[in-house]
Amino acid sequence: MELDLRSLLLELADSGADFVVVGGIAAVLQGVPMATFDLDVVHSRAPENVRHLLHLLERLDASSRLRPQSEALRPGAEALAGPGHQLLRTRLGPLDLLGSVEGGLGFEDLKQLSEPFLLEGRTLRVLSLQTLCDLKKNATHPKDQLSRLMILETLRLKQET
Amino acid sequence: MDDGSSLQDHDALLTPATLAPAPQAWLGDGVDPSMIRWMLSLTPEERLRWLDNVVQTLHEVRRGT
Repeated sequence: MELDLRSLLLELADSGADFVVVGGIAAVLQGVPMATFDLDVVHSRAPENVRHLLHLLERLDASSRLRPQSEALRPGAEALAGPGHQLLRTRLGPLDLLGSVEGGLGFEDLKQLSEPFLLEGRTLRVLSLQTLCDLKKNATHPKDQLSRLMILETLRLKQET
Repeated sequence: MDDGSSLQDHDALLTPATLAPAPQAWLGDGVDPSMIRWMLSLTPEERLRWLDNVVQTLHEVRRGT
């Protein structure tokens, strides 16, 4: 599997789908120096948006990471319209399409907590650093705890400047 | 066969704007403020390029290339 997260993000932006970037890429875009190996987004589960995503997944040759590559199982409209997580491999790298995140928050909720970001001529919605930090508040995994500390320090340094 | 071109492409991406500074003052919790300040000085495009460099490097290390 190739790893070109920047191209994967731009493909998603060009797909016409509505989504909010969350997770590590959202943190990196806002200045947190952390490594991440997948692109996490919370997508709109509206029928029209699901259609955009289905076309995108076909172009990206996406399939479930939870199944052997030989099975190449791709989520259908019903799965994308639900609140669950679709963990996918694509020709540009891992892509997680999340119907909702902690607390059952979905696209419409997170859209209010996101900020517009201009990236190579595209406007993306990226979850705010403060919300990313809040979502990791109860995390117990050491990696998430370190990420939260890095986000907190980044927020502090941003306020300084 | 790997002709090294991917590594060359990777090197080409390491422009001064994407070279991270050496750690200077680590906090006790493992957070490096100098690294964060450097990241904040970059544009979002440059931050993504930095991430791609990191990911590619780790990928190559794991593959032993």
